Amino acid sequence: MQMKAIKLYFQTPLYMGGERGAIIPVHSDTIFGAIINALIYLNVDIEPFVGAFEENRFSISSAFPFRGEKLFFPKPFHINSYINKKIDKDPNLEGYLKLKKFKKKKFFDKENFEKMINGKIPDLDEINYEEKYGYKVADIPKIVLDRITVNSHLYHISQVFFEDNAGLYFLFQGDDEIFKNYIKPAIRLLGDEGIGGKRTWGLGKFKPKFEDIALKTQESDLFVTLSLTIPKNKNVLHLWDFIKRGDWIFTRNGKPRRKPTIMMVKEGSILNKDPGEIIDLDNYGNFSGEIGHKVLVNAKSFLIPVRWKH
Amino acid sequence: MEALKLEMLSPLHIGSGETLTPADFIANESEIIVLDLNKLFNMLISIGANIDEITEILETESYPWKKILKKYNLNPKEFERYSLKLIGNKGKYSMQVRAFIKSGGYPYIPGSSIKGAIRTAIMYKIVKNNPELLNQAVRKLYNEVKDLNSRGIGRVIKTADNWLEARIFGCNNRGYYEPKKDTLKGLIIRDSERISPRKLKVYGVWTIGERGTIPQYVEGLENVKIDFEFTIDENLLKLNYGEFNGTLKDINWEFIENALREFYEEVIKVELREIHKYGRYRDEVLEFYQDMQMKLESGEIPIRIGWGSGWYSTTLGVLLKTHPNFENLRRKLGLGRNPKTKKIVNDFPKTRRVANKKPLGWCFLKC
Repeated sequence: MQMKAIKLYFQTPLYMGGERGAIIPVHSDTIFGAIINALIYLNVDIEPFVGAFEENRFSISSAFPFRGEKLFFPKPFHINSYINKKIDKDPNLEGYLKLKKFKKKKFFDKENFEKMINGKIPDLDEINYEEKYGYKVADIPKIVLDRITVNSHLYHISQVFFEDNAGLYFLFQGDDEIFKNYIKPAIRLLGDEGIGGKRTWGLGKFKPKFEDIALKTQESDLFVTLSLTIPKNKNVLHLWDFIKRGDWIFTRNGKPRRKPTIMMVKEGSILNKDPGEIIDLDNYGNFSGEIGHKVLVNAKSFLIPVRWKH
Repeated sequence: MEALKLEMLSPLHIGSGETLTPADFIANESEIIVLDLNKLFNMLISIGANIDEITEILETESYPWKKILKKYNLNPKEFERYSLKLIGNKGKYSMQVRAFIKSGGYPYIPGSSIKGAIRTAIMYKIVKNNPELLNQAVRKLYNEVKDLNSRGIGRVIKTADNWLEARIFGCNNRGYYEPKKDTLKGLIIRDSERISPRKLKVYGVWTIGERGTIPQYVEGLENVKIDFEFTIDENLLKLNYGEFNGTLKDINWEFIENALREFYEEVIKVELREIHKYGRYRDEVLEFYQDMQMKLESGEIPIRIGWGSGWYSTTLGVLLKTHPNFENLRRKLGLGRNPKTKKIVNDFPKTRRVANKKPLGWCFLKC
């Protein structure tokens, strides 16, 4: 499976809001929103881009960490049950402890990820459970002083700090023309403008690098999604987890407004082929009336075939 | 993005919330050597030092490392993480040093500190031209606190300026301050460039006006010039003009410059009027402020940031003090309460902080 990896080498820390442990991965709806906003800033007509996305001519994944040459992928949810069965056959304490560590591990390198999606079990002894993903989350204290009494309000914001040769990458699959005409220029602009919150402080700036990558996959009717998704048909879900999405809508020209809370299916979930959908927030309220333009949320899936034998 | 230069005239300290204790450094009469404790412990272990004894010295001595290093004949310079020149005298028995905010080991000035000071100055300029705003704010606050007990007041005291802030900078339909409707979101000030840690010094800061105090020690910067990036997003201001529902509708650099000048000129005047509160440093501080006044006449833009800048520089104090009802409000809020005697002082603000014989945090901005 041929894809493009867009590596983001961060020059400044990244702020994504949300809870401390839940900042990475940066979800596909955020990336899509940032790309659309960058295209509008570049005065590009986005209708063909959105049209192509709706027609499934391309897809965008969430952004996962990389360190050096190593790309990390999320754990497909079917693999825990695989391992459970293996341990059941040969129950011993050592195996059990390894399983616990395996279950807690958030990301796997490409080699192990390929094993998992092709129905093989990675060697539990060879996995580096202490592996670092090239980033650290730190709470930065900030203070506001009351302008009558000078009493202080202390608050913290969580920022992600990356190692020099590490960062985040996301995958693009599909039409080369779209990649060349829309994704590349948008990402280059975002590199200077920053991605995520507190861009006015200078956070989230990066240098992009575009690479081709190939994933070894086999034919299957089951898939793992590497993006957030809302499937059109709920019966396609096999193993899944939910995530609440919300917060503010970024708009350059319109009135700021909060997003409605939307439940999405998380990266790593296993489902049948379902492209997901683009959500028009007008279905949730009079958003275009209040903000001044339409707001679309990306809930399209990024599917990788996965072999899962019982 | 345009460049902004900040010149620090007097010791400036912006805290990271961390403190260095004598267990982290060796203090000489003129210098503090912050130790790389990992390296030092590794060395002590490798030479077979008695760890129990070291632990005991660490627990009992006021400056433990000096004794330990002497005992094992080790040179402190070999374990130096960085060293700081000491301005003032070393603490007799012990000293804690408040650390300067750093990123990756390098001190920097947060953009939010500069923006916060600009925000106060703008607030001052607007309230000065709308005395009714101040009247309403004081009246509203007084009505709010007059029947409250001390716990209730404790809550109000942290949010006393909320009503005023919402009126000036923008509010939502419920009347609360709303950052999305704030005109100042068009003013973007980035964190400063990294500053060499070698420029940091340790200052003994005296609180004048308190009886029998000992100095507090802080890592500070003085006589350093650094660059900032700043921008006023004209496009954002234009597009969101209809959204801004506070008194402040538009900003430009000239307006900010005037606000800073007007505000700090007034602060300096008040400080000079109360110069007797600087006690034994009165003459030096008087000279410092007179010198500043002269420089202001030649067109410099003043700004005061960081810890210890005082009530007048961080609040609308210069206006509030002139309000007839403020004294009642202040007593109700407990501003100026002596932490020991619990009595409220008559002449508020009573104390002043001084380091290197200068008031803290004064800088000039250059565009």
